[in-house]
Amino acid sequence: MEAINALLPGGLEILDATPLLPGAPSLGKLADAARYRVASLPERPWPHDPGALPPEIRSAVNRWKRDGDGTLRLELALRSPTGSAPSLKKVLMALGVAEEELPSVRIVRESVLLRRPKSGAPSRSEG
Amino acid sequence: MGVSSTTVIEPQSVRAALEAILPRVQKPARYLGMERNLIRKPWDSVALHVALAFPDTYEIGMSHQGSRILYHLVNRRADALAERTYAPWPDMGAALRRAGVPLYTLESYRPVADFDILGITLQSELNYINIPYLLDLAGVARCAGDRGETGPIVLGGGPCTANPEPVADFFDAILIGDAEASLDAILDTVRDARREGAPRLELLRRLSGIPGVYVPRFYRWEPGRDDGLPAHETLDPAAPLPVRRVWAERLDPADQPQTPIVPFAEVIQDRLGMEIMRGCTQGCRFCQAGYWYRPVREHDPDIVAERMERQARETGFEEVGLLSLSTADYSQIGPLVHRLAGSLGPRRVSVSLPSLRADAFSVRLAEAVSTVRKSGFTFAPETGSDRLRRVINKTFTNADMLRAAESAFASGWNLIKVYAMIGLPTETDEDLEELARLAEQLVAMGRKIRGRKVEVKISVGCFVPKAWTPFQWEPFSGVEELGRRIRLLRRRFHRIRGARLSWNEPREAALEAILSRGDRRLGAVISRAHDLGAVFDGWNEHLDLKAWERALEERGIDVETELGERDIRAPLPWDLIDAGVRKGYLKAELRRSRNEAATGDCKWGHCYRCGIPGDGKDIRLAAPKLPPPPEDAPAVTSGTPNEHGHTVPLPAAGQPAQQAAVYRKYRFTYAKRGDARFLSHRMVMDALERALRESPSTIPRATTPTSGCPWARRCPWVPKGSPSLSTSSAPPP
Repeated sequence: MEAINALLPGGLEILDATPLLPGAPSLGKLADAARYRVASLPERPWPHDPGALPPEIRSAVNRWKRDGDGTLRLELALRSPTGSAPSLKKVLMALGVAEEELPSVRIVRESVLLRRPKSGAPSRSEG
Repeated sequence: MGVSSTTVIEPQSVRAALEAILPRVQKPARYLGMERNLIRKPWDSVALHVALAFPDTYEIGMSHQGSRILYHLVNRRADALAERTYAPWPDMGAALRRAGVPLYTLESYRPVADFDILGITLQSELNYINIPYLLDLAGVARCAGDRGETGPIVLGGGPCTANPEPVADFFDAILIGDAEASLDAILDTVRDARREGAPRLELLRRLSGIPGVYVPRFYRWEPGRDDGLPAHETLDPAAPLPVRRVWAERLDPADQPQTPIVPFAEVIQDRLGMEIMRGCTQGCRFCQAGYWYRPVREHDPDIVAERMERQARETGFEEVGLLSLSTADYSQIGPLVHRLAGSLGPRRVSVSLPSLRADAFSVRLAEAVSTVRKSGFTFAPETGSDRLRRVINKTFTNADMLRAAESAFASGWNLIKVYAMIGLPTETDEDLEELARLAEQLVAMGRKIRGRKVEVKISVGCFVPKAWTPFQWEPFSGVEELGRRIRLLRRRFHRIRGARLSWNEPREAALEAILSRGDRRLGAVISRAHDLGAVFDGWNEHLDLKAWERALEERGIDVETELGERDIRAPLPWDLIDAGVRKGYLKAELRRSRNEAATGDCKWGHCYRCGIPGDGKDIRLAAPKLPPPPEDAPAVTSGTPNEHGHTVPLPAAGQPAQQAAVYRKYRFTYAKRGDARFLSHRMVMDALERALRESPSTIPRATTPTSGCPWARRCPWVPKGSPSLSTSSAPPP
């Protein structure tokens, strides 16, 4: 792994490599949710709960927590029973962030959550 | 509006400002120098600092082989460093101006104005508009005459120096010819003059004494004198007239980069390129490069092969390109291709052969290296008419090309691409009809051999008369007339199923024609057009012809005269250059074109006295160091595809069969932080793939993740420049 990471651009790093069994489902089928850390905009704190969001967006929010410094910790489903799940961009715009403001929002995608294959929906692993 | 050069701006200030700028611009990774093998020398460790600027985007400039050579030629010196900069896309240019950040280099984020030399490559006339753009952003005065004692010497070079006059006012000095021949002398001169504190004018005088160096301010062009004829005159005794083009007598392998830069951002030609030959003596009468780069000089095939094999291993590129003006004319092309196909094919590294001829030999060459992928086969017949091909001195016929196409279709190609021109001297509507008939015949032949999946793409460009060619006196056909010919072709191709026609914009070609043969007066026009909003003329979305029309009108340039036929007896703006090829020879070739007379390739012995001294002895063919491919050799990697679809090489006689490679799928978890957060998902996938290919511990084949893979579609959105701390991805099977 070190040898490969030495060949990658600074900041891009392979953390783990897991061999897969033949017939393992594709990553696209396993991706379930993503966790984000979103810093607040100056003088515009994020709400304490997602209640203000429209229902179709709110339904994709698995987790919503505002830290003491105003940072929002958010988990968004990547799938929706009714179709495609809303992106973080849609969430932020629903919270009143204009499109031209989006580059100013400091966001870290902390992890993507995968469903465990063939073991039912509730069990998940963090990738 | 430029960026002030009076304020001292430190590299760390530039870097800090980029944090706010980059999330708001397109493709931010191209402004960060995120590459492997780039050279970062401590600023104070060298006496001479050179900024190499390419007046187009990073994606284009990084694909330019000449710039790679220049970067190497400077950086190999212990007393000098070279860093790179590219024309920022207009959104980035505007953002830099708003933030008060000057043009900077990718290696150190240091303002370009801090360097001793600012070298600008003149690769295409349609880049000229970006010269004032770059100079403004750098905070360097546009006109050489307005520059003070400090600030960089602005040095030009590249193929457009065949007629440097339209951009002469922007440059302190222009190198006419191969950098290998005179660059070291230029660097020594600037270094010494700076060390001595010599005035700028004295430095320019010293530069003008170096072979091949043209210092425009020491010359004046009089468009109309008392005798009615224009002429050049020198204004300084140090200035030679004419300025002789210089060229490297031999291509020295030491002048080629040992370790190429590997970009992580997107580039147009994402491959490992290596020059195999410089110059071409086929004598196509429209082709500037064919006359400008004489004589023919070839690289040693053994060194080329060894270097390509090593660099392919070290860089992880999945494609290597053998670069020259006419690859099939490289005398050792057969043995070289055979060797590379054998060594690179099993690593799934394909060999691309641009600039092939339309003949069966070229098809065999392409076949030898096409085991990795069979994209389209490209022919460049220039016209569909045998008569017109004789006029331009292309010596093959439609029948030859159909035979070559038959071989290509029989070898498995489904797509034939044809490059042609309209507006060539003496062209008639019947010649255009012949192009349509040729397309019909190609489609019919392809369908007979390969069925209905065959496709023929005809790409039509507009002929632009260029300096130092026999057609330099010929008129440009005119925008309206070329538009009529394109409409004629479109109507005709509408009836040809299986053939697709595309064409270049005649108005863009007209602009190129004006800039190609213009004189000193055009410098002010370029400057004014840029002030009126013109930038990135080579990009359709930015081409602003209204700005050009107004600038030309304001400066009193008669467009009809500029585009019209030139008097064969009158001096030409580029007469101050001695290209090596004689004007008398070009005139003779023009006469021969009208008689449809062929002029053979002098590379094989007969000297036509074109003017290059040496009576043919300047031609440097490569020694046959590699074994020739056996006549009956099977395709190098032919064999049976295994269960993974990978072809296993056939064993040589008496050798045991190789065991098929075992492939496994892995899931990778990766983090993207720091500057890497500006890489797009596609760039990340490319970087991962390249690293896997390059790492000696991994399998030689990493499958290419495509934008169509499920994971790419499902990648959750984050704004540009946002880090991802833990993301899973996996190459698809």
